[in-house]
Amino acid sequence: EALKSPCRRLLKDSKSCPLQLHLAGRFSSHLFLLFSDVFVHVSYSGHQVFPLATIWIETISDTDQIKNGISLTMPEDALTLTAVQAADKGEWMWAIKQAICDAVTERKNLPRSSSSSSSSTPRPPPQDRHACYTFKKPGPYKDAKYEGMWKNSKLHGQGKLTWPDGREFRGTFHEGMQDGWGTMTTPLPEGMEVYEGRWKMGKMHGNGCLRYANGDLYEGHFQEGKKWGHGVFRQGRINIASNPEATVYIGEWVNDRKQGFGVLEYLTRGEKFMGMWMDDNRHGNGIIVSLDGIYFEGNFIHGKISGNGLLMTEDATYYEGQFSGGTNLSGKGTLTMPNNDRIEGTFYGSFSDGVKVTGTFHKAQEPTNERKGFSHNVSTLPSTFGQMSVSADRKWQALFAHCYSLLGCDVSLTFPPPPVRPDKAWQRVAAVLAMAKKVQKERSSNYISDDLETIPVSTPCDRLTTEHYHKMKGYIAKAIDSPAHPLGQLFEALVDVYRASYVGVGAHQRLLTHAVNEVKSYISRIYPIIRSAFVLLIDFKAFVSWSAPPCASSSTQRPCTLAPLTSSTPSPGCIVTAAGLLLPLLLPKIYPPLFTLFALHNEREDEKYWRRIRHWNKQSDVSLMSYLGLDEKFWLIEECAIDDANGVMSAIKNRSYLEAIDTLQRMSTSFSPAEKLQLIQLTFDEVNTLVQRRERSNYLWSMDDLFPVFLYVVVRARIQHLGAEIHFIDELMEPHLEYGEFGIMFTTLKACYFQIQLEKVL
Amino acid sequence: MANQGGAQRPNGPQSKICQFKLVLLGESAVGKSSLVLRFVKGQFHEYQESTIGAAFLTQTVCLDDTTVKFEIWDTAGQERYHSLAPMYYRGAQAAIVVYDITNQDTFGRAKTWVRELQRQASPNIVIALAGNKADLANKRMVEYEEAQAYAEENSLLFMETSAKTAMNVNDIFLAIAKKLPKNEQAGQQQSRQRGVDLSQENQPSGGCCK
Repeated sequence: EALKSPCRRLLKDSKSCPLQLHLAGRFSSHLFLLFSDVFVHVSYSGHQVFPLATIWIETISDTDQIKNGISLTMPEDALTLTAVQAADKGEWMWAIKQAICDAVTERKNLPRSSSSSSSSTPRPPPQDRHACYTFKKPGPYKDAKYEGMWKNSKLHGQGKLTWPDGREFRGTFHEGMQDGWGTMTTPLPEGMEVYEGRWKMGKMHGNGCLRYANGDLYEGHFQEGKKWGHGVFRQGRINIASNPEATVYIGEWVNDRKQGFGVLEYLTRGEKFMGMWMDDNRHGNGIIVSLDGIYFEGNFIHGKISGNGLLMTEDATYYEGQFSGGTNLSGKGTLTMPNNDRIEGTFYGSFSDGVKVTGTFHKAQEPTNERKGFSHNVSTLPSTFGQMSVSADRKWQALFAHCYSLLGCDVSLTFPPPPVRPDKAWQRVAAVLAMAKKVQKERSSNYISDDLETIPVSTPCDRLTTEHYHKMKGYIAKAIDSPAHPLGQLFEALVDVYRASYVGVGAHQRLLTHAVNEVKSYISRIYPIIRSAFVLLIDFKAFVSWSAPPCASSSTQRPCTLAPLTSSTPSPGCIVTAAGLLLPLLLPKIYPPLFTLFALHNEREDEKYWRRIRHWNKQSDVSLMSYLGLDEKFWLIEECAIDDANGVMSAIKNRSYLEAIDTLQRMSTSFSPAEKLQLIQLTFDEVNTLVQRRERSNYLWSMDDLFPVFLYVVVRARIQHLGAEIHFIDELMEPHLEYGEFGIMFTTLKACYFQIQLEKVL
Repeated sequence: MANQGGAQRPNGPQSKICQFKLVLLGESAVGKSSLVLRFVKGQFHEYQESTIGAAFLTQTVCLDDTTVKFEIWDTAGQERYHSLAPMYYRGAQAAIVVYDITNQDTFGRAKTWVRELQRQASPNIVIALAGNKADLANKRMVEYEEAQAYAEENSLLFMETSAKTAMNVNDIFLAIAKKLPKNEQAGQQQSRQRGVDLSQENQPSGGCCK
């Protein structure tokens, strides 16, 4: 009939060797034909052709219902056949198996060895095989042509699906569905839509990147084919003039919509919204900052401002009251001027276009300038500042949830979830790393180091030793730099969101408080992860300290000696705290945006300071020292002056306390408060060493003498943003360092900065 | 630092350690550093371990069941640096305002310090007034009664001291130690003053002053 083709041979038919369709009607007639490449089922109405390469055959053990049964499974069909006699079944089984084997191996070794095919014991056809197939029946794969690996009639392993309409999927299958890494391209009228990422059960699920046909791009987490979890969505392009809104959203998604905390930046308008979302709308507390220096804080319901908001301009003017639309004043409110004068009344308009005011003017009461000078401008903020912003702990929860789930915690019930057992956590880490290695092979991406799979502190111990601590710290440092490690993923993502929040329009001086709180929140949220999952053996609930020379019998406490001056001052690195452990790891990664905020915040004071520093540094050592009131015995200059002839005076200019000045300068290239404090201490050490060498006898400092000397060093060190540096340390140093030697040294630096501003320019 | 309860001294299970910040105020050359050196070392010049010498010293005194550890911050006494003092006495639990009994001006300055402390320092700060150089009684310019009346009026601890003869030096520190609140509550308050805790794990447990 129509099935005839030159290279097709009929191997067996059910006329000569009876075979029936199981449960077939009494009067229907079925004919089965086995050809060299296909199996044909002819019935009354027509016939079906099944290519042998995609037939999986299995024998059915006899039951009451089925005797001598054979099961044939195809990608979209299944046939249960019965033979009249066991001998017929055997014959059919042998023939079909043999034919399948030949069909499958045909492509690979063309010179078919007839000897092997006619051998009496048929090889079972492979369960896993490579084959092509075109789907016909309705379903996700309708009309698609598949080329790739199969297992038991299901798509399984690497493969490629192509649809006639141009869609194409390349990737991994599991039990008939896309699962694992895969790329899907869909041609649409506007262009090509491309998804590259993880799949599960036939849907986009896990991390991936979806480029829409119109050029929009989503990078982040998917769940059941939808944007879900943490992700970045770039919409519109700035270079297209017709596109009024180019935006970047980074934050949480639920069911394809913005929901939870997120930051949306309007690239063309130069505006940023940082707050809560629901159903793609602003909903809940949020902050708006814009390039023209506006800071707005308020509560939104379904995209609209509700209740009172707070609007601040670049100077300390602020308005608290009702708003309409974006940041337009509309209704009752209070406007407060930088000098604390107030206007209460009704306001209409915007700060950029003018505000129409009907109200009462209140002259400010006596200015409250108590604690002026060293309070870092905090007093200029209205009391309601920050009340309508999202708390730092609420931000980026999806990232932390993802990290927890990677470590095997169930995040669906409570958040943060109860800690897992450390051994389980380590298993998960190993699994995640192994998975990353697999993906890396699939995508040939970066090398993942092996030593992350080694548990750094494995032997249980009841006390943290220096050695353990350093091993652990070393491990964490490595882990956070590895994109495959759960901690590395978390850090990388946190650095991204931090930059997204505080770079560009986000480099806004009013955001400093939020930025600092966010860093602190990261530390307090990362720490439990590390503690529970990595080093449970170490009890970090308390300060863990070890004495500088490790005590042999650690459990017995050293008696508290009455001798003074023992170095009982805590120094960084001797007391383990969450901040002490994590800040030096986190801060280098986010230092530029964070420090920029500090610099902006302290701009005015730093300018005042810098003007003096510039002028003073034109002075010679002698005149500067005498101006600053250094006692002559600390000048450390005559020696050289006397040694050299008069003519070389210029050469020795700016030579005094050089080592100390160099050390202090290094402060601006270190990233953590602990490091900066250590450099301050080192500066004092060097000042002391120099003076001791000069004095030869043991000189004992008093603050009366020390202060001017240190002031001289600070002036000569010319640290450009010293105010920002000080403020940075102040905000982020561990509380226990506020006292002790570090405390007084840092206070002295602060005092120097303040003193410089008080002095005349000269 | 206000570590309490964590560390136990071997000689008594009841003993606790309280750490206090004490700030020294007074005109330069009234003998602030000599006074504190006399207290911590019992004598003048001797080798020292602190990098910045007498500008920062620690000394421990024992009181019944409590060990009081003083962390002594010196300040620059020059008139020029007067406005810097608040940074130094911020968070201090005790202050010694020192004047020179042979110099009326220093007593005037001392009164200014006391007023400022009462207005701006921590509300519970223990303030002691020390009339130093009591060994130079023949050059006395500030009468004992005058200073004592002033101290009583302002509820200050008051003693005339001599760093040279060690007169009243230990006594004034002991008197301060006795007056300082040493109960659990005070310790907690102090620890709260110490700034923002980054996490609950940061609570001190006495681990660092064993």
